Amino acid sequence: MTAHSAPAIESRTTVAVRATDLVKIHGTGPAAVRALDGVSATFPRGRFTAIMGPSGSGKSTFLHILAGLDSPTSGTVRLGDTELSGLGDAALTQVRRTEIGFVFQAFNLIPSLSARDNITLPLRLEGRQPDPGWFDAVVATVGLADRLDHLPAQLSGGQQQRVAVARALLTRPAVVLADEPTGNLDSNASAEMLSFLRRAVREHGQTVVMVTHDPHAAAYADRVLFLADGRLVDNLSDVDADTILDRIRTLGG
Amino acid sequence: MLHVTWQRVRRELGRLVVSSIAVALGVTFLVAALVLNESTRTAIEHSYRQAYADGDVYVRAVDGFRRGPVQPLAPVPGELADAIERIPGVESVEQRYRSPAQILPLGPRRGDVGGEAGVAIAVPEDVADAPIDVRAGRLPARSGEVAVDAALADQLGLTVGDRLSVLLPQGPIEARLVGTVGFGSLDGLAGGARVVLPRDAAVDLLGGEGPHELAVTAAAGVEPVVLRERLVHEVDGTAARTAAQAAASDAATSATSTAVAGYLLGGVAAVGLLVGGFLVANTLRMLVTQRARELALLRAVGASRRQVATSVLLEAGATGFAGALIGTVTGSVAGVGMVAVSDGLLPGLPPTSATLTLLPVTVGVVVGTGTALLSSRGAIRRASALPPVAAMRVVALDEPRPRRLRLAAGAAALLLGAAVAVFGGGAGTFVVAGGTALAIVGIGVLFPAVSGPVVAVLSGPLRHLGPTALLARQQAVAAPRRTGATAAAMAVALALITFLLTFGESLGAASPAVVTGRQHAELVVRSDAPWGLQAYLEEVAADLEQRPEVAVAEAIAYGEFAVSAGRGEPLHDATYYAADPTTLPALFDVQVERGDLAATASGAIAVRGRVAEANGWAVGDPVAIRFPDGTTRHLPIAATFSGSVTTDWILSHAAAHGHLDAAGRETFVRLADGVSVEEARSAIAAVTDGHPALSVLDRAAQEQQMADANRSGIGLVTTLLSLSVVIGGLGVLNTLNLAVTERIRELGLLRAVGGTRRQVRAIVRWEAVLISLIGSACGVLCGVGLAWVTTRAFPDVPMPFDLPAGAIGLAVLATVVLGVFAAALPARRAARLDVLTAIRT
Repeated sequence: MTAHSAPAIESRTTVAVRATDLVKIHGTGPAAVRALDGVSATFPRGRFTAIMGPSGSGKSTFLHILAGLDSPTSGTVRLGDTELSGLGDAALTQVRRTEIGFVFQAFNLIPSLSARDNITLPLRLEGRQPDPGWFDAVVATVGLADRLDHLPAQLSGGQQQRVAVARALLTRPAVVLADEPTGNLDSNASAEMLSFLRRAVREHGQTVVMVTHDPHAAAYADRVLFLADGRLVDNLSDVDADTILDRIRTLGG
Repeated sequence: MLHVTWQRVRRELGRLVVSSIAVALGVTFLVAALVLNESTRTAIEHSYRQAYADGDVYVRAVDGFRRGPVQPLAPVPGELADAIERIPGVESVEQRYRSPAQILPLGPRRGDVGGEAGVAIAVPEDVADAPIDVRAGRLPARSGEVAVDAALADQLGLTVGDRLSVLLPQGPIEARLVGTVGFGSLDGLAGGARVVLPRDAAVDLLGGEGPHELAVTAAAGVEPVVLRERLVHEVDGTAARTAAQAAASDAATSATSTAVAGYLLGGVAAVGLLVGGFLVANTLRMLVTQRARELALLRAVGASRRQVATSVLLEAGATGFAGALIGTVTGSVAGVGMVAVSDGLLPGLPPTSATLTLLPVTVGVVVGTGTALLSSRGAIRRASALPPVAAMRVVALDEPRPRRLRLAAGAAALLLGAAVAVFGGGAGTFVVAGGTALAIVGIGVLFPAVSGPVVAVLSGPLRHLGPTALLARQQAVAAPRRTGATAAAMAVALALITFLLTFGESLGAASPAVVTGRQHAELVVRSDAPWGLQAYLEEVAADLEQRPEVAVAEAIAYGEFAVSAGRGEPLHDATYYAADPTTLPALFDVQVERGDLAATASGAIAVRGRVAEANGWAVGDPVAIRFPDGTTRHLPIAATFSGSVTTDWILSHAAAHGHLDAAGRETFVRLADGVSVEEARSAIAAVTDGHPALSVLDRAAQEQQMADANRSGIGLVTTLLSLSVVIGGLGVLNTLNLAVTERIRELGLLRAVGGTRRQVRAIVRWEAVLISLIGSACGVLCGVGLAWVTTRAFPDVPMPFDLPAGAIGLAVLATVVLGVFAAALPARRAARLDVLTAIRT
């Protein structure tokens, strides 16, 4: 009995997100496209996972479904103890606000709000004040302490993305989902950004899932999942950029 | 390029529709006003052509054609008729008699209806050829008989055999109605009801010094214009006009009195178009911002600056043209409808049918389109300034800095307008109104330029109302020009309304002060008869003075003349009191500064000290005065005075004698010691009973009459202007709609990071409240300020400053409610955004 129950407890405590048999079909009839074709994956707590794949492999769709922004045609997503399918808009909004942190490719900051206000936005939408100690810790992690009162337009691309990362981390979400976070950054800013995400994982035990097509970015992750034509085709752990590049070549991406 | 523009207009039709509607509303009022004016003018002209149908050329005394239809005419020398008859080409000359008249039914119906202002005419010499037809009964033949036009008989319910009182300048006569008449197809003519007197009686009663008009018929084949040329050489000292000219000038004179409704609508149209212009400007500017990429792409693939600018201009033109077309149609319908319901409402106007000419249609389309084209300037500048590289990457389209020109122009208009309103009080109401209008335009121009700090300061309190209010505030502050331009549209509308409400209230409150401040008389005897028919009040005054209850009774005449500051200086019009200098200080607040008021009895003149000083006159200096009948006299100044009496000039009755045929009169009564107002009333009634159309007013009644008149006029204008707030509401709707489109990514992002639909809706709604509040706050501030300035602008009229806080509060509340209402649609749109679509690049 004990031997059987132990893994169950472990899965509840160590798995942040579990996707089971996700299928997503865009359109109907002959024009239908299977963006996801039966993807199952678990994302352990406190780990940094990268999702790679060629354009059109379904990796962005996968991320959107994990975030509850899009709903699967079939299959389930379980975020911690919460089953996402079947939740209404209000409940999904609540989940996004408290359980998920987002980092987008195009920074997505509110131009009229200062860096500080952008970072605290999700908390304020909930009517909560940020915990000052945690706020300082997050700001220190992403190195923004002296830029907090700047407007997004006064920040470089790298700094803007760091604001977005801080915003994602501040709510202590169950998972931070990053969609091509380095897509608009030069290589120095990219490296900086990724080491911040890395630090968040190492120092604060944050779970991070990142979609990218850059092998160098993916190399920062503990684990890399490969998607092709809507299917999960490979799963590598602790690899470097060259290995990832080789794997992509064999996938024909 | 045309094709690209057209595709874009088609795609963005929804966003341009609101601007079109705003233009359409303004044009509606404009076209309705024009249709109303045109219809009125056409009807009056038709009616007057009928009145002048019995001759080809008419001869009157020098200023005879400049007088209104119910004003008395000076006589023409009788021998002139014989002289004219000898001129070749003259077929015949008819001597006509006419005078202002007031008709009142007698007998059991006495007092049921007020008097009707009209014109007394004589039975024509040659009845068969005259354009006058008997509709019932017959024409009067003997003294004591009259006929009236069928329209009046219908209006007063008169039938043949009724007894009437006809008030003539010489006094009232009683007569029996023996018939009703018409004029061709018309039952009545413009310019007042016609009373037909028997020819002999008319010559006796009206023509003591000769006929008032000669109607000359041309011989066959002689053109009226040619005949008039020949006559002009003969008729020295008189004026000659062809029938068409006379009809046109009479129509013009009486059209001014019926054009008030037209002016009112015109004013509202101007406000509507101003506010509509703001809207178009704002919409296009935002569309250009949103389409920066697309426009830059056009530039990148080879379109010139000019082509990009032209495409925006075309878009503005299409928006304006569509609005103008709709407005022209609705305006025409409204105008025709108003003409239909105004039947009989316009004084002295026979039943009118609406005339739709090309003029209102052309003006409506041109003005509506032109407004939109002019308003597109900012958007065009912005579009043509776009660098082609904006197509490749996001180029920050910075909010352009407030342009110095705009700041300077706005400030200049505001200051100049306020200055004119304050210091122009002496020059008349129109100058003050013009200054006020200029100041309000200045506010409109200035507002978008200074709106940044204004928005930031005024929206400060919103910071403490939760996260959505804070976000809304930040949005509004981040785009001060967009917020400012919309708020300005609301501010202009509200400034006007507040100004009128406040000024009207103050004016209403001032009336008692005006009445009691300027006069000491306990009672006033006033006639309902038109000016020019009130000479009998002097007899009434003389009779009253015989009564023991009355200490002083004095008929003051209100005359007009033109006066010049010196030889060669231009003439300007002034009103004067003709009064007895010995009793005047007992009736009014008149303080003699220099000289002796009593000396005016010998034909001198008294002038307000301030006026004398301004013109450099001293007591004893002669002043050149031109009376309306054309005579100029040089009168010495006997005295200068100050005080709250409402005139700058005082003449004795003797000096004014012979120049007062068109003057109005009031008899002021001071009671003997110990006599109560009620006792005096019955004593006065014994005198006034013999005279028709008299009313006796105590101070309270006078104050009430003035206050009512002031308030009702301003109330009407305010109601009409409230419509411009509706246009302002459209502005909020439009701005928020565009703002939602512009910020679609942001709103999607808010939803992505956990904003609920409610919160997104609340943000849009808060922004609406903010824009409306800022607009109303500035509008109320400016309106109240201008009203305050204007109440100080009339130094001779002590006017309190009364703030109708309730009404203003209601206007602000209505504005905010309208703003929230307007926000409902965009807020829904924002809340329904699909998160994924919104954040996808």
